Amino acid sequence: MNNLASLVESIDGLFIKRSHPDRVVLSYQEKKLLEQYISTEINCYDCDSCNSCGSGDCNSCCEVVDD
Amino acid sequence: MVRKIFIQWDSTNDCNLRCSHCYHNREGEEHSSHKQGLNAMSLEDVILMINDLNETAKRWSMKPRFQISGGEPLMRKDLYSILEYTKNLKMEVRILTNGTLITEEKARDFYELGIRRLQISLDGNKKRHNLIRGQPFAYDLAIQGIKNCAINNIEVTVSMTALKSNIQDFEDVIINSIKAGAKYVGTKSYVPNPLLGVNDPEFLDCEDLYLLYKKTRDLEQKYSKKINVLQTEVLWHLMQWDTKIKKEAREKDLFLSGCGAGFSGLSVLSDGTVYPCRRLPLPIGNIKEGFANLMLNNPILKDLRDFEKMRAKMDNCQHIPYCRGCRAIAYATTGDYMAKDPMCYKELVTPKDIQPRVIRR
Repeated sequence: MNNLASLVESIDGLFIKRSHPDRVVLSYQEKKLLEQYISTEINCYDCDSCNSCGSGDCNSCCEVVDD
Repeated sequence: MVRKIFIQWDSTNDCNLRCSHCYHNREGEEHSSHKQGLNAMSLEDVILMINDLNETAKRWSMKPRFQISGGEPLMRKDLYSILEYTKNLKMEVRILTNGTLITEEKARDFYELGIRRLQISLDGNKKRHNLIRGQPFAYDLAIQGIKNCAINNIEVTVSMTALKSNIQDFEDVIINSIKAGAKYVGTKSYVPNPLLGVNDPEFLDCEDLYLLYKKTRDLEQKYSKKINVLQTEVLWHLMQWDTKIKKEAREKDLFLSGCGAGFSGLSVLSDGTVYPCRRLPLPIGNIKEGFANLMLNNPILKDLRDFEKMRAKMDNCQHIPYCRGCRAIAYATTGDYMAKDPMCYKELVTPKDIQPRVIRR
């Protein structure tokens, strides 16, 4: 299995595992979008007040705690 | 850890203030209902939009967040009905407000309706804030709004739009935010008027921003026991430690964080027109076309997710997976939303500047 296929499968599995005990079928485009999100577990910086988007509140980007 | 997706919704174009830096008064905003004379979204349409966000988030195993902006959101007459609905869905909601209309009673209502954090703008000391905001009462009422939230257990983030004319006031803003009971305070970069671009007299160039961030670090140290001074805008990455996760994002060329346009959510105007970000005035459709449909299929959003294309315009910048600068500022200054952010100060950074990210709660 090549890296991309492996990645898509792992993301698909991860998303199903998290909140969809009965299988959710994601479209190809959805997988393409979601595969762009890094798939490893990351610690979320609470960016509720991030202002990154400048239009006010958080842009919901997930941030990292320094390791 | 669950990622979040959001809709930021301009609930109304009505506002009791006339701020000099507001997007609503600009050219390029002709798609807003204010300019077109169209009706704002009905309550039914708003509910459909919220349901759409909620369902998409579930499908993608993400957490939805609904951010209510304006105009001034407290001028939307059915705001409480909307908040009752989001409360029933247990949806995270933020309100972005000028704070002037938040009485103690309203703050109490907001808490009852599920609001736990809210953003209020302060753009300098009292004199400058009132000048920018166009009303002599704006500052005192905003401060009172912060106090009313704080005593009702709503955490307040104070946000200051950093302009040439007000950056020297940031410490004053921090001090008065502390006095009023705010929990967070930070600056956000000003998007210049596209007609003026980098010649907009209020625009901070890369050197200004670099110096502001260095000053912010000092202020964070000085006031860290009393308030969280935020270091979270995307270009902060340039002065922060590299991490394993950043390295991994670079190696795999995947989205970690940074500018959320194209990734994290959509901005919806009061008539349903959708922008990639509230600061990036490129209409990409109407929210009735569906959140997921727009996110997945819109060519501008696809561009914003195309790191290869972006790298070609940004001198092969290595920070793209977690930065990308501000796409709106790039667009306002060059007309190209894929161009380099002119506020990027990476050429100025010295090894001494690279420090850990400060996270306090």
